[in-house]
Amino acid sequence: MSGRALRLSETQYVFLMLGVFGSKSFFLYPNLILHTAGGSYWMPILTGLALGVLGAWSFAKLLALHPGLDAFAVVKRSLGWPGLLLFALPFGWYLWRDMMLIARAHVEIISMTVLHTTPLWVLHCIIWVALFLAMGGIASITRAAAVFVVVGVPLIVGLTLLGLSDLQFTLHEPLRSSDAAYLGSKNFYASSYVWVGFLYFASSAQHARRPGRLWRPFAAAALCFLPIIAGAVYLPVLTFGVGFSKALSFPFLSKMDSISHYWLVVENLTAVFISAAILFVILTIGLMMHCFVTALRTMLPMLPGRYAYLAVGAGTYVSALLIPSWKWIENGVWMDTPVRLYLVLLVPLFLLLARLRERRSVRA
Amino acid sequence: MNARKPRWRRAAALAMLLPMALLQGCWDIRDIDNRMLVAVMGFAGDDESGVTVFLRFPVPHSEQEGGGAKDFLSASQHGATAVDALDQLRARMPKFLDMSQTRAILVDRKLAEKRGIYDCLDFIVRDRVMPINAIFTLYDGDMGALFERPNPSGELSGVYTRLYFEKYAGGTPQKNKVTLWEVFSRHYNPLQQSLVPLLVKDTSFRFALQGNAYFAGDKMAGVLLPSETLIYDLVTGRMSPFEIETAGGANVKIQSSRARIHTEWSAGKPVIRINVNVSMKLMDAPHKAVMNTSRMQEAVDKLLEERAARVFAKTQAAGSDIFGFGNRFRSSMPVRAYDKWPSIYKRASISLKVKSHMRNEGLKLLQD
Repeated sequence: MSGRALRLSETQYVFLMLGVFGSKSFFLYPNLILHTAGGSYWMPILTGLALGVLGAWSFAKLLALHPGLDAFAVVKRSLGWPGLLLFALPFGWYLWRDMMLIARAHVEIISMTVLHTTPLWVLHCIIWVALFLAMGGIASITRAAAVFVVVGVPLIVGLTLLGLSDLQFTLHEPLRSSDAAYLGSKNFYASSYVWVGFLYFASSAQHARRPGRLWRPFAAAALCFLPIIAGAVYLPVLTFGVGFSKALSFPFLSKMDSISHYWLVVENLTAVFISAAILFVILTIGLMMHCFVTALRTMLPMLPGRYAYLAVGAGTYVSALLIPSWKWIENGVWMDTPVRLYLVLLVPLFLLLARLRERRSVRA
Repeated sequence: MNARKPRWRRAAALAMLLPMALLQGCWDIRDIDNRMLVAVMGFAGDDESGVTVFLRFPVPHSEQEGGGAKDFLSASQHGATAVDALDQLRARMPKFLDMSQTRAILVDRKLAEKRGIYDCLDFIVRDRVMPINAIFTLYDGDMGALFERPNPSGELSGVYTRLYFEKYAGGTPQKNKVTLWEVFSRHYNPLQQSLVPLLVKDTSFRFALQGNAYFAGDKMAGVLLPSETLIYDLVTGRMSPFEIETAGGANVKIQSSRARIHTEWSAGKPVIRINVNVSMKLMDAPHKAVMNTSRMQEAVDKLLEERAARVFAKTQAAGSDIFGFGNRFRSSMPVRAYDKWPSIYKRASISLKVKSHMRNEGLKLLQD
C-alpha cells in the first residue's frame, strides 16, 4: 500500500499511543511522582492526564487546518518558514533527546536488573531494530504497534494485577488527601514527558480520516493506561511504604521482585515486565525516528530518506552510548522540560495565528 | 535500477537485523554447571567491626552415588562488611557465586541486638543480587554449627527453611513469615517496626521457634512468645487457622478473624481501640468439665484479651509499634514528627476487645 493511499483508523492510533505510554510510564515517572511535594500522588497524575488531553485537542485542531498533510507541512503551509523553523527545530531537538534518553534509560534498567555484564554498546542495538521499523514507514510502525500492544499490554496488565498482592492501605493514609503543593515541584513538570505523546502523531496525521479528532485516540489510550500508571506509583507505596519506595530507583520493578505466590509459575516477573516494556521502547523510538526524518525532509526536501534514517539512527546510537550516568538521564528529563512545554504551548499559539491569517486572507 | 532496489533493501534489512543476534544476553550466560547456587545465607557479627557470612549450597548427586553422600556444602567467610566477605569468598570458590536463588537469610541474634540488621543487608537492595522476597529470620545459637548440620528430613537447606514458614507447608501463625522487603520497608518507616521470627536449634528437626523478635529502630528490642504472636496476627489480619487451649481445658481452632481498629488523639496522646471478631470451631472438649458454647467463648475472649494486654505492654515499653498503628496517624501528624512516633507509642492508650463466635462443634456434638 502506498503511503498516500494509507488510511489509519482511530484504533490504530490508539495502539500507537498505548505503545508510547508503555515506553514512558515506568522508567522515571514513578520516581518523579513520588518525589513531588505534597504526597497526594493522584493529583499530579490526573493533572498531567487532563493537560495532556487538552494539549492533544489543540494539536488535533492544528492538524485539522489542512487534512492530508503532516504536522510540519501544516505549519509550513499555514505560517510559512518562520513557523516551521519555530516548530520543527525545537521539536527535532526534543525528539533526539527523547530518543536517546528513553533508549539509554531502558538499557540501564536491563543492565541493572537482568544482564549485568552485557556491554552497553550491545544493549543499545535496540536502536537499530527501531531504525529498521522506522524505515518501513508508518504502515510498518502501525502494524508492529498492533502486534506489540497485543503481546505487551496483557502482560503488563497481568503484572499490575499480580501487584495487588501484599497491599497495606494504611501505609499511605489518607489516600484521598489533596495537596496542591505538587504544582510548585519541578518533578511534576519533569514528569510531563509521559503526557506529550500526542506530538508523535506529527508524522502520521495525514493518514487520519479526520485529523481534528486525533485527540480522541490519545485520550482513549491515556485513560486505558491510567490504571497501569497509577499502579506503577501506588502499588510500591502501598506495599513498601512511602519511605522505602522513595529510596528505590525503580519502585515498580522492586514491587515485581517482591511478589511471591505458591501457584505462580514465573519466578522472575521483572524480566517479563522488562521484555514487554522493551517492545514498546522499540516501537516508540521507531515512531520518533519517523517524526524526526519527516521534520528533516520538510525542511530539506532533497534529503534522501534512506540516508536521513541511517544518520538519525547512528546519531541516536552514538549519543545514547555517550550518556555517562543515570543521574545524567534524570537531569536530562528535567532539562528537556522547557522545550517540551514550549512545544505544547506553541501549538495553540500557532492555531490562533493560523486562524487569524485565514480570516485576513478571506477579508482580502 | 529497479532490480537493484529490492536487493539493496534485503541487504539493509539483514544488516539491521544482525545486531539482534547480539541481544541474546550471551555475555551473562553461565551454565548451571559453572554456578554454585546459594540456598540459604547467614550473617553473624563476632566483633564490633566485621561480619561473618555463612553460605550453604545444595550439591546434587546422582542415584548411582548412593544416598550416603552429603547433599550440601557449607562455607563461611569473615570480612569487614558483608560485601567484603562475599568478595573474599569468591576468591576461594571454583565456580560462580550465584545468590539469585537464595531462599532464606538468617541473622545472628547477637548481631541484631548489638549492631542492628540493616548494615549487612543494604547491598541486597542496591545490586539485586538476591531475591527480596527471600525469608528473613533471626537465629539464636552457633550459626556455623547450624550451617554444617544436615537436614533430618533430607530437604535442601534453603527450601527447607522456606517451607518451615510457608502456609502451604509447615507455616503457622506463630512462625510469622517475614520477607526481606518487609524488613527494608520497616527500616524506612518510623511508624511501624519489624517483628521477625527467632529460631533456635532443635533436637529432632533443624530448628525450633523460640518466639518473634520485635525491633526498635534497627535493633532487636525483645521477644514475643509464640503464643503472644497470635495477638499480632489477630490485629494485623494475618490470621490463619490455628488451635488454642481455653482456660476450661477445651481446644478450639480459630478459623478466621477480623479486626476493626479505631484511632484518635485524646489529650495529646494516641488512643487505639481494637475490636476483634473471631470465628472458631471446637476441636476437643474435656469430659469431666461441664462446658457449653457460651462459656467457651467467654474463656477465649478473656484469654486473648489478657494476652493482648501483655503484648501491648511489652512492645510499648520498647517503643516498638509492630502493628503499624502509627500508619493510621500518618495524616494527623506532620511528617517531621514521624520519627518521634516510637516515643509517642509508649504513652498510647491501647485496648482490645475480643468477641468470639463458635461456628461449629465439629462432627461430634458438644453435649452428648
